[in-house]
Amino acid sequence: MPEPADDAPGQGLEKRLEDVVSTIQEFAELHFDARAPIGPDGDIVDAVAAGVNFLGEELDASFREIERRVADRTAELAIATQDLARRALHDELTGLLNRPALWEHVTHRLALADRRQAGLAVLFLDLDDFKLVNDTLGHAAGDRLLVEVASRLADALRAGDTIARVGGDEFLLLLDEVATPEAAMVVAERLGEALQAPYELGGDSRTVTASIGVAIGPESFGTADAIIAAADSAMYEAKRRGRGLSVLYREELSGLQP
Amino acid sequence: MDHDSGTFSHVKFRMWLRPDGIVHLVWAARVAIVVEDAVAAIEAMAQLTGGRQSPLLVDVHEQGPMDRPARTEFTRRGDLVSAVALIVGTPLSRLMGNFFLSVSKPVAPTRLFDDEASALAWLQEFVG
Repeated sequence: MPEPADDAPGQGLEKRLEDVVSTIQEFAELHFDARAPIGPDGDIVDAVAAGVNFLGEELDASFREIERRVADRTAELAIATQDLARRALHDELTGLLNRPALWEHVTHRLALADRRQAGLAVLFLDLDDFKLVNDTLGHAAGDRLLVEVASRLADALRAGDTIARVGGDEFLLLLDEVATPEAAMVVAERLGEALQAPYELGGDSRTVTASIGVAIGPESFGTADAIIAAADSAMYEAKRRGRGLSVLYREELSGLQP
Repeated sequence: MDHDSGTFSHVKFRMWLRPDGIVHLVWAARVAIVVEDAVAAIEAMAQLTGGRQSPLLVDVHEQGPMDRPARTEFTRRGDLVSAVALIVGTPLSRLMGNFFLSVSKPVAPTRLFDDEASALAWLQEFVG
């Protein structure tokens, strides 16, 4: 039987329909930019091809819209996650690190002790008579005072040192590198002095002092809990002695509490 | 625009304002319409009507395919038309008209017609 001629009407129709089917197959593979050729006749096959193309355009637009929304949500989620991580490690009021974050820093620093020649120091700082500010000027003024104290302490620290707010008016500082206990005490004195300039609180000028306990490591202190507890005990000894004082931890202060 | 005849001529369409206030648009036969053509047609209509909402008669019976951005542009500038009558002829133009109605969802009342007389009669209701 002879082969039909290339331009036989049946074969032309078959070819046009094959083009449409190929386009549908492209869509199945998520290639929504595929388009079926549309002839000049505007006949029923052209209508089918145009219909398939329309579907492709709509699928393409929907797909891009979904991709855009996914990208938007992903970006929002990343920002929220970042914010959550920041909140998990920072004090909301002052923006300083919080207690868990400082503990982590101290633990990390102690772990490096074998590889570092210089020692470290933990300073436990508690404002004197902070309750009086809250009681007389209100909590908003108390909050402003804490923010200002945080700022002054942060400004007074050296690069590499770390500061955290760990309670109402309690701050912990990690001095990353101290040559001697005396050097740590010099830093403590400097921090105490930085806090002594008057604070403007709601039209009222107040002066504030802080009691500071200093513990030197890594000797005697294998954990963050131990060295921070030592600094805490020294701070209570400073409170016991008066206002605006710094005390270096000694063995006999162990376990000292108010 | 040819000011003597009041006809706007474009390589892909002709458009004019009829005495009864209906704008008549005829697309060239068998050419693909893209967004630039849609923008040109919309600008031509705004020029002819001075931006006033008017009924639009569109002869698409020999029209080629119109892509999505072009359809979207016509839908977006629906504020220029009070109603649209599409005269369809070939299966292709009928499908495109139906697709425009069902997918692009024009804001102005839009209907398909097989003949010009019926389309004009319907559009008279929307002459301002």
